[in-house]
Amino acid sequence: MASRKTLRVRPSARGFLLGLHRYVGLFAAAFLVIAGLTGSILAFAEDYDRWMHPSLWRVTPEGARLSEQTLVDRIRGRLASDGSAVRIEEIRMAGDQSSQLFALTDGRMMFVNPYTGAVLGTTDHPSKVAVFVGWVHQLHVRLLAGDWGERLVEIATTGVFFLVPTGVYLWWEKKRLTLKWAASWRRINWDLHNVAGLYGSVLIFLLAATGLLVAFETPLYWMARSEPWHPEAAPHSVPPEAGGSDRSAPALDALILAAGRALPDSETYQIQLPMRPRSSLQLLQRKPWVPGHSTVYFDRYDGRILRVDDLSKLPRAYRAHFLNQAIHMGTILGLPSKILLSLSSLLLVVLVVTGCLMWWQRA
Amino acid sequence: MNVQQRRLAVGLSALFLLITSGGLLGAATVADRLAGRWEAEVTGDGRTFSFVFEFTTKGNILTGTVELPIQDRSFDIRNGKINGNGISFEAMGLWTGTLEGDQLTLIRELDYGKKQYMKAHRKRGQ
Repeated sequence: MASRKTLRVRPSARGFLLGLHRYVGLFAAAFLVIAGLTGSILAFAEDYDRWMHPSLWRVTPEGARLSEQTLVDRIRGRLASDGSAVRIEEIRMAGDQSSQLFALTDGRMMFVNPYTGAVLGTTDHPSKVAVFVGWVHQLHVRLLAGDWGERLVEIATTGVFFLVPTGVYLWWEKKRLTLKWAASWRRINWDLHNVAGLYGSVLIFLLAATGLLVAFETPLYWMARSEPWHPEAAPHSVPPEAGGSDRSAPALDALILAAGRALPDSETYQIQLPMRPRSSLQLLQRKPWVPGHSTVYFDRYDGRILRVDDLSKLPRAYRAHFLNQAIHMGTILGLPSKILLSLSSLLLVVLVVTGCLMWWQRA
Repeated sequence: MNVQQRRLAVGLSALFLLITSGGLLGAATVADRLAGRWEAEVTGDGRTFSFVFEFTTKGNILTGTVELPIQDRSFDIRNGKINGNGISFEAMGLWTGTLEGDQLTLIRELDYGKKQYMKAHRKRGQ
């Protein structure tokens, strides 16, 4: 009796879930194809410019690197010799085989070889690749259609929360784990939808969830059981007495060492130089495999540490933001996670296409 | 031209002058109302922080600075425009805004497409 009851209930529940899966999928199809294709491109957003312009971004290590202060002095000397009032605003450092970027106050970006001090090139506008990546991003986030496009993307992304669980439920009946190549194209298409859906389900669900949390952070704060961080204004340097000079200003390399001591196991990846007499000099520090950064503020005149914003001690909501972003953008584990993210995004496209074909052949 | 036609022409000219001068005065008023220091608080990227705007206006041109006190950094406004009660400018992202009464609503669009919405109020003492 119990088994007959089960038989009566299960087909109707299955039918309802199949209908939900089919029509939510059809509604969201076009948006999910765009999200998947653009997402697979954006997984390497930071890398395209490096790949396209290796002469600017890549260097061959030649002995020891020049000290950071030497590099800054050389660039300052070069700017001064041009008779320009332009200053260095920010220095971005990367690995041993990467150039250092000097962001200037006039918006230009200077690429410098840290081993020789040679200027590899200067750009005054985003490259074509960067403009293209920005366009893809707009397509990914709002279909190039402003706020309306953004709402549509969000609704379609929410559809994934229905598609994945119902898809797994529907898969459960046949439990297809492999493709049967020696079959009709309809069967291969059906297998492909099932297999790709199963293997991609967790990552696609994760991508949708983290994507929505990038757009709406409030649930992230709730999940982290934490309020957003309210950072204080940056501390100020104390200018020397009138008539004094800042000749004793500490070398940047000493500050980098001091920041390393203040935050063990961290490395400096960005230096923000003071723009005003009372501004502090800020070193942004990061630890391997930890999304986000800490900041050490120095007095620009005597090198005293004014404040340390240690990421590990900042509110969980702030750290959760970086973690969520790193998962969604695939940067959390470097290149392997970017590849995984890109493939998962393409799996989404495969699922939509095979799903639409299943609906079309049935219709 | 008879007297009636002359009166009609004078009347229409007066009306035209009234409308155009009113429009010019209105535009000047928006520019005047925008000029000065504004502050806006925004929550995003896991934190709540403020921007301080120093607006200078000349006709429909908007200049000045956007300051980020948490980083003690200030950025010059580029390509600033006033269009009716709307404004747009570039400084650490692309900004658009609307001035309604004393309420300035601002949207900041970051390089990676994310938007931050905020309401600015006049900074105390301004």
